[in-house]
Order: sequence, then C-alpha cells, then structure tokens
Amino acid sequence: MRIYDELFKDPNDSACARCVIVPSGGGYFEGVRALGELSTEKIVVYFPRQAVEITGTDLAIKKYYEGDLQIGGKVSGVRVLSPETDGGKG
Amino acid sequence: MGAFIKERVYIEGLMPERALLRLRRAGIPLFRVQKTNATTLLVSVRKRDLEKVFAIYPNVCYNDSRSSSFTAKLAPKKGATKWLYVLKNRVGLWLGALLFIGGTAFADGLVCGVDFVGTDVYARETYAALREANIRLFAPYRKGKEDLICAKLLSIDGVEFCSVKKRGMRLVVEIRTAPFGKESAKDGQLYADCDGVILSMTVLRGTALKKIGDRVNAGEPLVGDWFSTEDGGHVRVQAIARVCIACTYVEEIAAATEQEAFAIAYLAVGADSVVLRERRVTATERGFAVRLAYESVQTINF
Repeated sequence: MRIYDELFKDPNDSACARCVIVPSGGGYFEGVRALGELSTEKIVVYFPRQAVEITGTDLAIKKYYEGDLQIGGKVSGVRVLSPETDGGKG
Repeated sequence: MGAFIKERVYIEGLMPERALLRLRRAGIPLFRVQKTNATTLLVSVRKRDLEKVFAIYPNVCYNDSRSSSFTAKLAPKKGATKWLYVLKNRVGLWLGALLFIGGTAFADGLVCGVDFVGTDVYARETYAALREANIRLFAPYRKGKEDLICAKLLSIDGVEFCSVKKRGMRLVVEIRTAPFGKESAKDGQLYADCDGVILSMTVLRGTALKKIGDRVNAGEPLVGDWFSTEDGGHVRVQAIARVCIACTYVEEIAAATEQEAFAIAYLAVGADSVVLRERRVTATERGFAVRLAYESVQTINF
C-alpha cells in the first residue's frame, strides 16, 4: 500500500528496514543484512543501521532470501540494540 | 524439479551465522536454518543451488589449496527425498522386483498340472472332463467349472465322491470310489422264469442245457454252472449266460377299466425287464381277459 511506502521511508527518502510480528507467533523481517546470534531462544539480525534482538521460544529461521527473513516459533520480544550499549554491528 | 527438491547442508566453522552472509549475497535462498551446535548450522537449499553452495564453501581436504573459514557438507537424506534417491539409484532392483511380483501374480492364475488324490484310475476321464470344461494345462484357469467336471466324473460307475480345487498352480482332483465294488458273482444255474420258447442264448461260461427253439417251462434250468471234463467229471464254475425267451401271459383280471387290467398284467410279467410284443385285452363278465406276448431276458453274472 502506498501509505506503507510513505511511512517506511527515512528522512533521506530511502526505504527502511521493517518487520512484522505475529503476537505469540513468528515474524517477518525485510532488509536484513546479516545474522548474528542464532538459537532457539534468541536471534539477532543486523539491518543497515541497527541490530535487532528477537527473543522467544522454539525460534527457527524458516526462510532467508535477499534480505527477507521469516522466523518461526513464538516471538515474545523484539528489542533494537543500540550500537553504544550492545555493540551491535551497523 | 531442482526448484522443489531441497537438500540439507551442514555449514561448519567458528560463528557459522556469518557464513550465511556470503550465501545471501550470492542470491541463494535458505530454508529451515537451525543451529545444531556451537559451530554447525543445518540449512536446506534448493537442489539447483547446491553447486553454488559448495563453490562458495568447498569441503576442503588436506591437499586442496583452496582455503575457507567455513566448510559445507551434504547431510544424509531423510524422508521422501531419501526414498526418491534410492529409487533413482536402484532402478534395476525395483524393476526386477515389480517384474517378479507381476510374473508371480500372473502365473498364479495358470494351471500347470493336475494332482490326483484318492485314486488316479480315472485320470483319462478326468482329463477329458477338463478339456470339455475348457481347462487346459499352462493356460489361465476358468473358475466356476468345478461342479460341471465333478458331475461328469460322478457319472462314472464306481465313483462315489469327487472334488476339484485349485491350489497354487496345480489342480487337485480328489476321487473316491465305492468301498465295495460291484456285486460279487452269483453261484448256481440259470432258470427260466416263464413258459415259452427260447429265442436266443449266449453262454460265456457254464453248460447250455437247452437250445434255441426249445419250449421251456417256468423253473426249468437253462444253463448249468459246471463244465464236463474229458474223463466225464464235472468242474464247478460261476456261470455267465444270457437267455431270451418268448413268453405268453394269459389271465382274467378283475379291474374297473381296460387300462387298469393291462397295468396289473404288465406289472405281473416284470414291467421294465420285458419287451412287450403283443397285447390283447377283452372284457369278460368278471373283468378283463388279458393276453400279453413278451420277450423275457434272463441273465446270470452277465
């Protein structure tokens, strides 16, 4: 939808990384540059400018292709890691 | 087909998550990424992308000059994919198995031989009955003909029990004969059972006491059960003979109708065992006078 295209642009008018989470379900992430940690309780994904930590249970990567990442399992939390405090890869 | 079949690959190395970066840059879709231990990821990729994966992360050995931080190894197949590969690599085995099963199923419907149970004395009659029922050796077996075959075999004198069953590729024919065969031969002479003239005489064993054309009375001996020897002695034998006598029956019968009088007279002379030549029924005051001219056949062991 056009409104999403408008919302998901940064001040420089370039597309932002985005994610869709299903409560107590999985999630879908776009613009993923790299994967960090990978376990059934925690997955760390790196976007161009920040890192995001996804926590939950029975987490698994269902599909990873051209920056699109689909996570299965029960996602209980999503936290953006700041580079200063968490040492995330930018 | 390579787009639908997925292969599982182990990627080993320190921090194996970093290995996914190069795969992503190469445009290889990754499915079901799992971390099996600290240094190993298990990833599913499409079959057609497998070569690219191994080109990026070769499974190097000690004499290979290429170097890589990570190595990729093919995981053992499981599930439907495994059986698909077994089928593909063992085509001859599966074809042979299918041919064997098909051949066995086909051959099971054939009749390759006949086994006799009880007695095989009537083997020739059995094969003739099978031919009539259109059952041939080394040909498909036709069901539903068992009763027909048994009916033909049971019509043979002496056969008391018959059954036809197919077991495997053999036809089992069970025939049981009567426990005591025909009646044992009679001893004694052959006597006339009516007054009349001898029309024909056949003596196979014994001594003829009368000849053709002789007039005999009821109870007279016709054939003796002995032979005369040259020295005048007699040797006892079981006579085998057949004598046909032309007899006459005359009787006045008290009956309501002519037919009833004839029936009574016919039964009196032996009915089915005689050949009627002439009949005359006339009414009288007390009933009917019946005169029957017939031929009576007497036999002994014939």
